[in-house]
Amino acid sequence: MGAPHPLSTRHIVSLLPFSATLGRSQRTEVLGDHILISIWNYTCGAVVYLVLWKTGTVTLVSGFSKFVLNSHESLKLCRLPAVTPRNGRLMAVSINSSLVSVIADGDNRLEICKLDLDSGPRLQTLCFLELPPLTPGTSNILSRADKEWVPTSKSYMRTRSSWGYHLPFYSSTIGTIALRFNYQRSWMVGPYVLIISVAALISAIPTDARNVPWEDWGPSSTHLVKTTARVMPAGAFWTTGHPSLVVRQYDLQHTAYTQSMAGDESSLQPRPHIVDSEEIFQYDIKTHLPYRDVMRENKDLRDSGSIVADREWVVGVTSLVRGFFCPHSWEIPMRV
Amino acid sequence: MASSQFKYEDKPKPENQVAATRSLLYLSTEVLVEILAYLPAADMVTVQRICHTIRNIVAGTAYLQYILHAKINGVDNLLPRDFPYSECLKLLRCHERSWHDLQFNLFAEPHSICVQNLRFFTLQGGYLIYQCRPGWGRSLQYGYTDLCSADWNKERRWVHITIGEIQYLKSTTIKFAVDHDLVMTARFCVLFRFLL
Repeated sequence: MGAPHPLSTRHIVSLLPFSATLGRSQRTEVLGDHILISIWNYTCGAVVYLVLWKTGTVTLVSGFSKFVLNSHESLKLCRLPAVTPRNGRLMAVSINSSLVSVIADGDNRLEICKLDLDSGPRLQTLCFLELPPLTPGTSNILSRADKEWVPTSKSYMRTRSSWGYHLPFYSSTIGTIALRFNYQRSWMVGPYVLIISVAALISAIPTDARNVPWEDWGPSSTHLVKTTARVMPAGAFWTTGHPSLVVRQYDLQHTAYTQSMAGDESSLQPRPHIVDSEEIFQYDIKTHLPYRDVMRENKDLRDSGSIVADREWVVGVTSLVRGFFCPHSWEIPMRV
Repeated sequence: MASSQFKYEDKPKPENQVAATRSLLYLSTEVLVEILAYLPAADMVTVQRICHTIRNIVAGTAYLQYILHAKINGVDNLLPRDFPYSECLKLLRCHERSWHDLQFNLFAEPHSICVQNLRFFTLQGGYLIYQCRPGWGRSLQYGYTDLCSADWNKERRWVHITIGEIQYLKSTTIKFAVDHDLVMTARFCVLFRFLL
């Protein structure tokens, strides 16, 4: 434990020298045998890498160009392609095992790319999904992207079962992704959270690579909300409130199923949610992705400073003063 | 021909759909069940709308009901292979209800973990993982406990790990992938170039 992974032949991998300047940020995701890494700062732009963690092979995947390094080659400097933003961040967020969304500050659109791992790792742009149209002089800044944890190991089922304990269920697909934006004019506005239904996003991808206007996909596939609350994934759901536990459920398929079977009349209905333009959007933004909020006053969770959750567990984390420092204690693990 | 035109012209016409459904119904129920199990959730819902017979087959087959609910919920199961589908379905519906009403079972009473400078917790596949901020230049520290392995209301066993070789820098990111038994650390270092 804490030792080099037995399947990895190179335990330390160097990426291309990026910049010694301050203000760097990064996002990493494990995708099966690959690690998707986005790095950006405000002076040098942004890059996206795919690292094959078993062999240590590093591939620079950014827009349409690629640059491959392997353990036998020396590091080389690579000039970034023009498609990467010069002054801002670029974040790569996996949608599923074959699709990656690339979001760049200032672009105000999602670049949907096909992740091709077979013919050398590369990202191939499929289309651009435009975000809510902004007024002139307004720019968007993506501060974070959140989603449910889903195992990416092909042998997850086998290995989890071999550990001898049985979780009854685990998430096999990501239902929704949350993107948190700030908007900048002469002042900063936000934050706004855009919840995107993955199923709806995939169905919105056109067969020919092109721009898809916001109105053609966004209102029906997303929920835009202005909130300072931290939106955290809780299994397939989202926690949006504290100390009362508020869980928000976005569930297009379940809604369609219950409505078609004419069973549950209390099921969630599509209801438009309107966000004021506030001089940053060209008009009031209306989104229709159906959702349902469940709120529960829970005395066990009342004192929790934060909550982490997955499909099976909800854990409240409480701050306690002990001596001269403030450790946290995990307090209430609860099983569904 | 534009690809979008091709897409729409390729869609089956209603009369063809009816004919296709009729010919499907000549197949045995067992074969139909196997075919229906391959359909995406949305298609399985649609096909139930257009044909009473198929609707009855889906409604009356625990296997299909379970497959449909699992697809709708985006889950797979880790239950033993010989676990009956009717029981899987019951468990999944119970699971759905728990989240629907936020009805949780209290699993354990409060326990504390005495680790300094805890930064955050993550939860992956039943593993509760902490990461702490050890201070500039010190080694990385994290730890985990397997919630699934614990008995009800018993003290958790924590595994504390220090990565001695990698010193903590403020820009260090740790990413966990419990399904690979993998911990990945990414960090920046300042590069100095000496030029003549």
